Amino acid sequence: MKKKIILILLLLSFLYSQNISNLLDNIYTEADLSNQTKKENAGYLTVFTRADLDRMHITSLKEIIQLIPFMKYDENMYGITTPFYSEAMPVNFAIFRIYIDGILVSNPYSNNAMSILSQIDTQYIDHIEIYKGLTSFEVSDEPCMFVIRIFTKKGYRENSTIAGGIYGSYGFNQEYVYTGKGNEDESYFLYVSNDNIKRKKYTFHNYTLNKNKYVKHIIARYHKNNINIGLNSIVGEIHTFTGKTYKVTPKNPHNDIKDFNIYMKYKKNGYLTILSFSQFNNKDYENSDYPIDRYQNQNVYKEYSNLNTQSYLVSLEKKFNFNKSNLLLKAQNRLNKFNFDKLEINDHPVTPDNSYNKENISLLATQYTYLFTSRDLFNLSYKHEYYNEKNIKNFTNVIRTGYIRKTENYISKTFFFYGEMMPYPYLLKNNPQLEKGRGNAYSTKFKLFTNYGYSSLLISHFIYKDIPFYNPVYGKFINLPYKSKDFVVSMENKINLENMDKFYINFWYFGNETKSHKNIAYSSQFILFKNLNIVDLYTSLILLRSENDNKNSINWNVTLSKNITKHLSIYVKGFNILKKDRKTDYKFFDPNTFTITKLNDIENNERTLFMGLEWQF
Amino acid sequence: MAILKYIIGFFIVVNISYAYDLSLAKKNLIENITSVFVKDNLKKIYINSYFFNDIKNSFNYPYKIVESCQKADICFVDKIESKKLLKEKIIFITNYPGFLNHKDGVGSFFWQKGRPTILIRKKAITSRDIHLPKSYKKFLE
Repeated sequence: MKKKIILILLLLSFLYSQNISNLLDNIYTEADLSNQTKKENAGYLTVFTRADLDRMHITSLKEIIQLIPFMKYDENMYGITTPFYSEAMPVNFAIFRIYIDGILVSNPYSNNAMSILSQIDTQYIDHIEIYKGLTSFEVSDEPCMFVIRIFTKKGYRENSTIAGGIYGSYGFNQEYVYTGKGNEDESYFLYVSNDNIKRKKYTFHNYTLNKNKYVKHIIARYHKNNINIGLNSIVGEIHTFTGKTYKVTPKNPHNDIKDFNIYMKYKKNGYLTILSFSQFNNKDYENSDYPIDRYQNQNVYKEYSNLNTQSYLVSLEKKFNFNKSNLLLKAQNRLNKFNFDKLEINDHPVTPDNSYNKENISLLATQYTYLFTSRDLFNLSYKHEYYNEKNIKNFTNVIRTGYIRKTENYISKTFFFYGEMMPYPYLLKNNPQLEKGRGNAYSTKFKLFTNYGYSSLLISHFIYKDIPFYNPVYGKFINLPYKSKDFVVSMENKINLENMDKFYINFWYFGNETKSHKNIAYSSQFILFKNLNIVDLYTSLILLRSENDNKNSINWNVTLSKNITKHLSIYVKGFNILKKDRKTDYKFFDPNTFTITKLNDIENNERTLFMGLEWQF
Repeated sequence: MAILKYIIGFFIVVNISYAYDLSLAKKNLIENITSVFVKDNLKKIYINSYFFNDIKNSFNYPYKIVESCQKADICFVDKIESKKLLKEKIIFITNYPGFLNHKDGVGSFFWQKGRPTILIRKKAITSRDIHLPKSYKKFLE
């Protein structure tokens, strides 16, 4: 009897694995494009594959940010994503870098891609790689602690035209169309989206506050043999919640933005050449019943500025492969221009200060990788950046070394890092005396593969010096006069279920300490991908405790999706279903009266119900 | 009963932990399609495809790789070398634009909406008197 059962089970197992649909599923999993792009040696990596994203149906990157260890999802007074904990950091410190198809997304003035990308459409994305820790220049030219590398869909993997829409609470709607076609030698991809990201509005003493965003997004890609050409464009209106304010008295503050990038990549004989041009325009409208600033001893009620930036990038890299090692060399030049074309205060034109409006950064970098055995790898990289301008002549160095051991059963990684970061122009304009920040880090990760999936443990210790922060007493940014230390631990467990279903249980701890205060946060995450036959289920439960602001939060999200016909698929999504996700308390200091105005319990993620549908032509 | 639970548990773990790599997944797919379309004992396969070229050396009896489509029972190709072959051979075109352009191709492997899929032309298999297993029916065009 037992033998018969075993035979039947083995036969079923064989038939299951040989079913044509399952064979195609295996290719789907194994040929995921992240296998071609991810760089395991560059840091601690988390990948959201195409298969994951197709099941998650994320409506913006904020859902991804919430799943990154050591992150909280908060929004600042302008409604812009601020996901980091260290209290000393200025509001838009370049913690994150976002790259789309290897091209940095940011305006060179404030260096913040979150203001544009974190809350808008994502249907152009094939997969996302997140590198945690101080990463190699291989994945980010510019210094940062987290790199989000987004890869767009490839025409040769789409071969279809898709039209879709997402409709949600508060009048939220996104409509998008994309089309792609071709083969591995030549293909194109075109994506157009119209976002009306309407969110909950707040009223404070008869003043309406809103974070709505109205954006049009275009992405185009063409590749033929060794050449890739890309175009990204975002045009829109972003409502900036309280705007600049002393007492929360805004009158419709908003930004009109135009972001444009075009690039070309050419790859031949191991050489990679990149040419890129970006242009960013931001018209900032501030208006208030109560003063928002002081200018030449007068109160400012209304302010308008028109910022234009341009970025020119030329990059050349070459990897030399030897018997047991390889050497990567990279040279790059970035020319950034940032100019205030217009400035008006209380409706009167004033001459903007454009004395510091350009920076030229030359980069030389090298990385040596040596394979001791087939399992042991040593890695050493060095990067030097030279800032050459009439006002600012400076340089930064980054040294990074790592040891990686990979066997069939486990991977261990250990990295040491020392790096220097130049303050970005927005800060230098505020205080030209700012010194470069310095940081060093030690981190190690152990990942054990098991029959059911994997378990991993990451421990990391960072020490920063001279990081810039805003001092309200001086009214400007200064270098933090003491060290800031982070100690972080993250545990991840993945359990493979049947077919492509899986379950994650993750925990992390974050501790930040400076001379003046401590900040501790910890979190548990439970994530399930499960096909229920009738529908496909994705659900995540994120529990977070932040000691500093004494807040507990629970964010429970559920996505149910179903392919109705070969052409039509629909999904329903509940976001922050329990309405217990993090809320932010804001404090505004009025230097005229020395009083503080509080605006408490503002939801960063409103409870939202989404419904989406896609039609494949 | 306890033993049965143990066996089922073992079966699930074995099944789940069976790791595929891409080459193996490609090879299994080619073998599966070939065994459905070719009934000869020795199954001669011709591959000239960007996606499948790397697995040419991985086949064992009863599958044999041959050097031209003319000598093969089934061909997996990106481009059609001769229109005459389209009518004589079982040809799977391994890209979508190629499949659309050649109405006489029996089938196609390509990517659509980020997923690999196959399409089989009903007219082509009817004229060749090929009978498909149930699991293939949903790929008929």
